Amino acid sequence: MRLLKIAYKNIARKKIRSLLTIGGVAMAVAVLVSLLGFNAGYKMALNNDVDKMGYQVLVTAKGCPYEAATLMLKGGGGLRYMDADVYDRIVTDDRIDKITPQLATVKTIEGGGFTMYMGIEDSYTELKPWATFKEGKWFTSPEALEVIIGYEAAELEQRTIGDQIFIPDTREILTVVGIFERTGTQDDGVIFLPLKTAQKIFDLPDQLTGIGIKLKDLGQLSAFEEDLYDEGSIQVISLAQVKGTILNLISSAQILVTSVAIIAIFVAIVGVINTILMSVFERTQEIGVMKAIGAGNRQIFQLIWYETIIICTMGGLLGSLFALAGGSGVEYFVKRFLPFAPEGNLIYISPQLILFSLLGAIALGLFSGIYPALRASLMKPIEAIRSGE
Amino acid sequence: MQPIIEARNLEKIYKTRVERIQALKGLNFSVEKGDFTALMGPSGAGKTTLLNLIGCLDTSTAGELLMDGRQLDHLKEKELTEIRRNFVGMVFQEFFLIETLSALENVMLPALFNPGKKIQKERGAYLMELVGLKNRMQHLPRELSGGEMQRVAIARALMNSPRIILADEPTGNLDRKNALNIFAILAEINHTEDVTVLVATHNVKLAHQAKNIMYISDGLIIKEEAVR
Ligand SMILES: Nc1ncnc2c1ncn2[C@@H]1O[C@H](COP(=O)(O)OP(=O)(O)OP(=O)(O)O)[C@@H](O)[C@H]1O
Ligand SMILES: [Mg+2]
Repeated sequence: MRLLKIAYKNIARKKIRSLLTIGGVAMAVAVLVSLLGFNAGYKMALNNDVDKMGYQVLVTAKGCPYEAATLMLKGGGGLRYMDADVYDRIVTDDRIDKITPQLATVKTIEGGGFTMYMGIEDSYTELKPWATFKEGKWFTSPEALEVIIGYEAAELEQRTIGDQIFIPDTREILTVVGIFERTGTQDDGVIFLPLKTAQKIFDLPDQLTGIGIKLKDLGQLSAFEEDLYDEGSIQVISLAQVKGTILNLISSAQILVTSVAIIAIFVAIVGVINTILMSVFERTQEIGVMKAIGAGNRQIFQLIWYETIIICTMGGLLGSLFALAGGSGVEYFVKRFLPFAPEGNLIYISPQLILFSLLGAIALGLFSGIYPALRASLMKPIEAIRSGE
Repeated sequence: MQPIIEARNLEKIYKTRVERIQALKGLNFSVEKGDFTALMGPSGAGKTTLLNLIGCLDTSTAGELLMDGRQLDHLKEKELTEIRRNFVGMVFQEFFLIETLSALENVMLPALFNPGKKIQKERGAYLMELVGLKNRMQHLPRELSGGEMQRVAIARALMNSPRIILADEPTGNLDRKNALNIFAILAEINHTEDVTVLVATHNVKLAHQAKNIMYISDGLIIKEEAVR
């Protein structure tokens, strides 16, 4: 028999009260774990998304605003076009490792939503080596009336090789020659066609929406960007910048959730202190008896401290379980409120995070147990025993 | 031989909000090692007050109280704890068992609070047997009769092998048969466990089960006598 066992039995004595208190701690921990999990998950997903763009710099037409650039990544509207000779001027820069021009167009679908069409050249696959074929192959010629479909777009429209597809607002019918494997990026929803074909059928001769660039050395990024500022009609967006913008956008939401978490933790602490203090006062006589039969102040302190730690540890475990179980629900909810939701899991709850929150819950117990334990340990034995009369 | 308990002009004054009550008015007495002494006296005479002082649950106001030659007055809380732990075993009228713990666990509890001692289950079981409750070890206090609870309390008081057992009206809540049984157990442990017993009681007949009787009235020892 040990003190810990006695502490546990004391908690079990008042089941409902203990459960409510544990529930309070669990709520606080669940909120905290979800929040931190979201933080980690969102950054990871965003990084993954941005890294999988394959380029570090995106050159777009001037006035194509940040958000539009963001939307373009996602597939929205508000696109601006630039002359293709910008590409010819940049392409000679020897700091460039890989470069690819693109022409994106967005067509709304009847009944809501939109599809993004992207004109690309062979160099596209060099920047995105992971874009492999699930079925089919590359365009037969740079001006072929053919399309390659992203994985999800193909799933959605039930396309297979050889299908004919009609592109809204044009008179052309194109043939599906390939379907990309799933990449886990926005590209999965895009329909690709040869750049020249796109320029022709969308009636945008010698126009581009973007130029994706990968540098030989990432350290040259800022110098490279600066040189490009001389080009009047374009703007340069480094994807680090895009990342920053997006992270800024969600940071205000994070402040809100963080304050909710802090309040929840505060409420949990007050709840724990209240519960333990109440049970200490109810047990005044018992504590007096324990002292009469030899318990020292330290042992009484320990006993009460253990009780708070047990409650908080249980709350921490339960809260972590809640967070793990409820993560997907929260994710679904959160996704609708975000300005930009990357693909993949937005909430990533790592074992380290669970461990961290458990330790946090224990720390919470250590902290909130101090006062009640002190009150109990400093009781005078004779007064405590007489308190029952 | 040095007395195990010795009081010299021992005084205890309770201060309440309205008055000062002098519960002990200068006691002088001694209890020898191995004694089995009954403390008798009318209600309010100061029996509980005296036992609480000896049990180190409370401190005196004036005079001296010595346990085995060591003065208890003015000791610090830590030293008082040490004495409660190792020297005395307390038995109360209301039993005061810990309701969440089994009878055996209650008995072993003082050892848990005693860092100097190994927690010996054998001793707990032995003491349960000694008080005749071998087959009640796993019972919770609420599953025991009054007499059984008090026997568990006595076993608990013996766990750390104290020098003295202090029992404050241990039979106050028990019927005659159980009361006699408790006194028989006290007499037995006085003999076999080599422990000095000081027991407060109102009952003259029970008091005569002891070896000596000490009469206290209005805060003073008025008479001491040996039984028979
Ligand atoms: N905590 C206290 N505060 C004030 N006065 C007290 C306190 N405890 C006891 N007294 C008083 O001290 C006196 C002695 O009380 P004590 O409890 O020692 O008597 P007792 O001999 O044990 O009586 P009983 O046989 O009824 O138990 C009484 O007058 C009582 O009112
Ligand atoms: Mg009394």
